[in-house]
Amino acid sequence: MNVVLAVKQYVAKMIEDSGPGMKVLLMDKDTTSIVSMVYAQSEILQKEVYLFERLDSQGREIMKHLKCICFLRPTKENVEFLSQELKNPRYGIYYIYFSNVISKSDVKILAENDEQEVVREVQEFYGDYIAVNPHLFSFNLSGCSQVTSLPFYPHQGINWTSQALARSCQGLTALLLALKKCPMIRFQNSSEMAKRLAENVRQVISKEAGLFDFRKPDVPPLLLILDRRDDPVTPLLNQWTYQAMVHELLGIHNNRIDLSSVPGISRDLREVVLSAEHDEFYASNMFLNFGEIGSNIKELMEDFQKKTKSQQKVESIADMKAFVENYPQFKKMSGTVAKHVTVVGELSRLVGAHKLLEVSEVEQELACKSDHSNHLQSVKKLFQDEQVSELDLVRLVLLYALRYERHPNNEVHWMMDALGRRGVSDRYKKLVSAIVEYGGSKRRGTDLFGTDNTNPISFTKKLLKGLKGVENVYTQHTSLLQDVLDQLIKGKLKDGSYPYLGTSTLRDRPQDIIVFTIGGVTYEESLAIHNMNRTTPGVRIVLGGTTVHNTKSFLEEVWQATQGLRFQYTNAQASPQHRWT
Amino acid sequence: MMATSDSGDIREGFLCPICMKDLQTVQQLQNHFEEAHNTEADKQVFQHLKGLFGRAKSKLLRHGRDQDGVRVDRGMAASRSDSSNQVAVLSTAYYVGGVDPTMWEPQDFGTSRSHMDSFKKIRDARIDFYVIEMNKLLIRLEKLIAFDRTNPDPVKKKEFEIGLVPWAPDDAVPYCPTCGEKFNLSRRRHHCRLCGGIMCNRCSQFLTPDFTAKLVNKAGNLPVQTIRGEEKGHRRQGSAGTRAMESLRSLVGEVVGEEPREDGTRTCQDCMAVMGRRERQIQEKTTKPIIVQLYEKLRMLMDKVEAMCPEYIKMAESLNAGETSYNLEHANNVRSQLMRCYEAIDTIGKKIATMGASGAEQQLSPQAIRLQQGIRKHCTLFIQDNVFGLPSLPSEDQLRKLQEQRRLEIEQRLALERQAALEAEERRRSEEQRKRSSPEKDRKGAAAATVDTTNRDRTESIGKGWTPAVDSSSVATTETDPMLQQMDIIRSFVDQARAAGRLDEVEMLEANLRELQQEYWRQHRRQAYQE
Repeated sequence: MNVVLAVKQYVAKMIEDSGPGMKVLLMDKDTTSIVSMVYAQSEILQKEVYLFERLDSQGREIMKHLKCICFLRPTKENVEFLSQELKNPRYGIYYIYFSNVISKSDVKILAENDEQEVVREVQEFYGDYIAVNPHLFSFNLSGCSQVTSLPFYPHQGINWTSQALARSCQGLTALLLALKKCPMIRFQNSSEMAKRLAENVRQVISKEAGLFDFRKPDVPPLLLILDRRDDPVTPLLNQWTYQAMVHELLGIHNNRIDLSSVPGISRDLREVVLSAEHDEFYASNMFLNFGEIGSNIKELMEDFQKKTKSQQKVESIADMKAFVENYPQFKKMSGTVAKHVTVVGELSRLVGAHKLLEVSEVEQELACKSDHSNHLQSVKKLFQDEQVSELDLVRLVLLYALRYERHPNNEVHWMMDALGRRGVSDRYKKLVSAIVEYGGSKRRGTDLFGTDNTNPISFTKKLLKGLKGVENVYTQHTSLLQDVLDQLIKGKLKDGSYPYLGTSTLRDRPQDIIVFTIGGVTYEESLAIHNMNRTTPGVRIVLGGTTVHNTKSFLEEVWQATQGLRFQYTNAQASPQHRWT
Repeated sequence: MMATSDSGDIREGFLCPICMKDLQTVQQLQNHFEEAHNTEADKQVFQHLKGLFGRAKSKLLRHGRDQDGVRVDRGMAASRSDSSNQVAVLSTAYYVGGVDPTMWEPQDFGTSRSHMDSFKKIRDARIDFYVIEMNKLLIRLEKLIAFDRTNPDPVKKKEFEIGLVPWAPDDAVPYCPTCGEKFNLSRRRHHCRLCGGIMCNRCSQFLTPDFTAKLVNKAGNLPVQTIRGEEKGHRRQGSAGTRAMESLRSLVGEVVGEEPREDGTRTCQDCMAVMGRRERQIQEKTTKPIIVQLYEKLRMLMDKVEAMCPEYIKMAESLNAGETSYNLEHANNVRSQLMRCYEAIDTIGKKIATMGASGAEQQLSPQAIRLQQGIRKHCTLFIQDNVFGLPSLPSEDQLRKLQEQRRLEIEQRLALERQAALEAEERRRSEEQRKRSSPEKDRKGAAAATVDTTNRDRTESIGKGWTPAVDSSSVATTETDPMLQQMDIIRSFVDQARAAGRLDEVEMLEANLRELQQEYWRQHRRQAYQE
C-alpha cells in the first residue's frame, strides 16, 4: 500500500533489467515529475544512469554507446515522438516502459518503426501518478472541472473537463495496478463527477480483467471517491504543521520550494527540495507543528555548540539564522538542517508580518462554531488591521460567506465593499460568489457545518466539542474527510450518501482503503490520514486527489470551475439578490 | 518450605517464575528477581513471559474496544464514556496497533505487462524483408570478389556477373530510373552489379575496395587487422585486401567508353544505401569510443573493489584485535591493492570528466558534458562510500604489541581461572568441614553437595583441580549453553577479583563479560529471525 515504494520498485526494476553499462533515462514531462518525486539524482547516478533527457527535446546528440531506458506516458504524442526516435535511433539499445495501458495499434506503430532492431523490451509499468508521501498521491491536475452546458439539459452545472476525467481514471487504475488492488467502489452520491469517475474506473477494471486478476484477500479493498465541493472549507484554512504550512505560505511543487522571493536569500537556497525520502530531518518533522520544529532545530544547534564550545545564544529563529551563517561547519555537518533553518525562518517572518496567528484563530472559529455577531466583529476588526494580507482577508470573507450563507442578516455585501476599499482585485471579490456556487449549501451533500440539529451525529459531535473544550485554537478544525473515514472504518458510513457501485457490498469493516478526492486534497487531510494509519490497527488508508491544494491553488480551481456562471454577489451595490443557476 | 517445580501441584501467589519461590508482594518479587535472577538465561525467560503478558494484554484491550465500539482512550475514557464515535482520532493518544505508513510491510512488485512478444512479431515480419535483401546482396558481393581472384579475364568476368544476377534488358529501360534522363549514345546504360538494375553513369555509386573488404570481411568473420594492414600498404598474398585490389583493376578494364569516376564495384543507389547501413552496423559493433573503453575499465575496477572490500575488512578487524589468523604483510598487500584501485578509479573518473574539454577535437555537446560529469560524480560518490569506511591496519610494532597484549590477557584469564579454582576448592573444603561439624543440616544442602561433587568430578578430571566457585544451582540450570556457563564463570571471577581488590582485573573481566553478552544476544536474535 506504500505508493512511493511502488513507483520506486518500478524504476529500480527498469534500471536493473537493462543490465550494466552507461544509461540514459528518456522521459516526458509527466514521468519526469513521477521519477523525481521518488529518486534523488545522486541515487540514480549510482545505478549508472548518467543522463536524463526529455523525449520531446530537440537536438539530442547521437550516443550509440548508451543504453536508453524510456519511461513514458502512453499518449499519442509520445508514441509519435518515439517512432521518430526509433527510426533514427540516437542510442544503442532501447528498453521501453509505458506508465499505463498502451493500445495494440500503438505497439504496432512502434514495432514497424524499429527497423534497426534496437528495442529490447516493451512493457507496461503502472507508475502513473505522483507519489507525494507513502500514503499520499496526486495527479498534479489543476482545474479539473468547468461549467458545462449540455443541450436539453435543464441547467448549467460544474462537471469534468474531459482531459481531467481521462487522466484521473488512468491514474487511479494505474495506482490500483501498482498496489495490486481490485477494489469495490463507493462514491459520493451528491456528486455527478464522483459517479462518472467511479463508472469509468469500473469500466477499465472490467475491460482489463486479465490485469486485475489478483489473489483475493478476505476483505476486498475499497476505493472511495469524494468531491472537494462537499468541503470547500478545509483548503481555505491557514495551517500550522510543517509540510502543510510550507505549502500554504511558500508552495510545494513536486517537492520543490521556490525561495527566490525571500529577502536576502543566498544563491544556493533559491530553490530547495523537501523530500521525506532523502531528508531525515524533514521526514521526522513534516507532521509536527511549528513550535515543535523550532525547538527541534534549536536542540540540534545546541548539540553542535557543545561540540564547538561556542557561546552564541540561539533563542529566536533570527538567532538561528545568524548562527548558521556564522558557522559554515554546521552547514556542512547538517546540510539539510541549515536549509530548514532558512525555511522555518521565512515561515516565522510571514507569520509575524501578516499576523497569521490572529487570522488563523478567527478562521478556525468560523470553520468550527456558529456565532454570527461575534464572528462578524472579529472579521471587521481584522479588516482594520493593515498588516493582514489581502489573501487572508479574502479567505475570511469566503469562510464567512460559506458559514452564514443562509443567515438572514449576513453582511457579505458590506465585506465585499470593505474588500474593495482595501484595493483587493476584482477577481478575488468575484470569488466570494464563486465559492458559494462551487461549494455552497445547495451543492453540498453533507452537513458540513453541523447546523442541522436534527442530525444526531453532527449534533452529538457539536455537543462533545463543547464539552471537551479545545486543546489548541489553531488546530481545532477537523476535516470532513476525517469524519467520513471514521464512519467508514466503523462500518457506519451511510449507503444512501455513499453508495456502492454495483450490487455487491462490503460486509466486514474495510481494511485497505483508497480515498480519492476530485478537486484536490490538502496536507491537513494528509496529516489526518497519516494519524489514522498510525492509530487504527488493521486499517491502511491511502489518500489521493487530482492535486494537493493550498488556498491559492484552490481559489484558482474554484475560479476555473465557475467561469461562465452568473453570480449572486455580482456587485456590492446590487441590492436585489437574484440567483441564476 | 521450598516446593520443587516438578511436584505438579498448583501454587498461587507472587511466585517467582524461575525458582517458584512465593514472595509476598509485587515489590518483593521484583526485588527478588533483580537480585537472584539477573543472568542471561533468566532474562530470556523474563522477556518471554513479558511478551506473553503483553500479547494477552493487547488482546484484552482490543476485545474491550470491539465490544463497545469505542477507542480505548487512556486519558479520557474514565471520566467520559465516548459512546459517540465522533471524537477526533487526533486527540486520542497513539495506542498499540496502527502502523506508520513508512513501516507498512514490504510489498510485492506492482503489476506489469510485457508487449515484447507482439512487438517482436510485427517487427520481425518487417525486418525479415530487409535482412533477406541485405544477405542476398552480401552473398553476391562476396562471390564477385571471389571470382576476381580466380579469373582476371574481363569477358568471362562479365559473363559471370550476368550469371550471378540477371541484368535487366536494355530496351526495357529507356530512361534512367534515378534521374529520369533519356538514355542515348552519350548517356549509356550501366548495370548494378548487385541487383542487375539499370542506371546512368552519373547515378552510379561505387563500392570502394576498402569498403567492400570491410563488409565482406565481417560477413566472413575474418580478423579486422587485415583491413588495417591493407590500409598501411602491406600486401599479403591472398588476403582480402589483395582480392579487392584485383577486383578493382578488372572493373576498371571492364568499363568502356566512359571514364570511371570512382574505383570499385558499380551499384545503384538503393543497394548502396543497404550496404551503407550494413557498414554502420559493423562500425558500431567493432569500434568503441574512448569513453566506453575508459568506462569499462572503471566498471571493472569498481567490481574488483566491491569484491575485495569485505575480505579486507575482515582481515583488518582480526588483526586489530591482536589475532594471529591473518598475515599482516598479506593484509597490507590487499590494502595497497585496494588503494591503487581507488586511485585508478579517481584518475579515470577525472580523465572522463575532462575528456575533450581541452583537446582540439570538435566542441562537445552539452549532453556529452553532462554524461561525463555524471560519471565523475558517480566515481566520487563511490569512493566516498567505500574509502571512508575502510579500517586502517596496525603497524608491525603495534601489531606485536596488540598480540602481546592479547596473549597476556589470555594468560591472565587462565591464571585467574586457576586461582579462582583454588580458592573455590578451599572454600568448598571449609564448607564441608562446617557441614561435617553440623550434620543436622537440611536435605537441600545435601542435594547441592551432590551437584557439587559431580561438578568437581568432571572438572577435576581435567587435572587442574579446580571447581567453579559459582552457585551450583544456577550452573545446573544453564548447563545447556556453553556461552552461558562461561558468563557465569566470569561473573564469579569478577566477584572474587573485586573481593581481592584487584580493580584492573575486574575491569578487564567485565569487558570480557560484556563482549560475551553481546555475542550471546546477537546469536539469539539471529536464531529468532531464522525461526
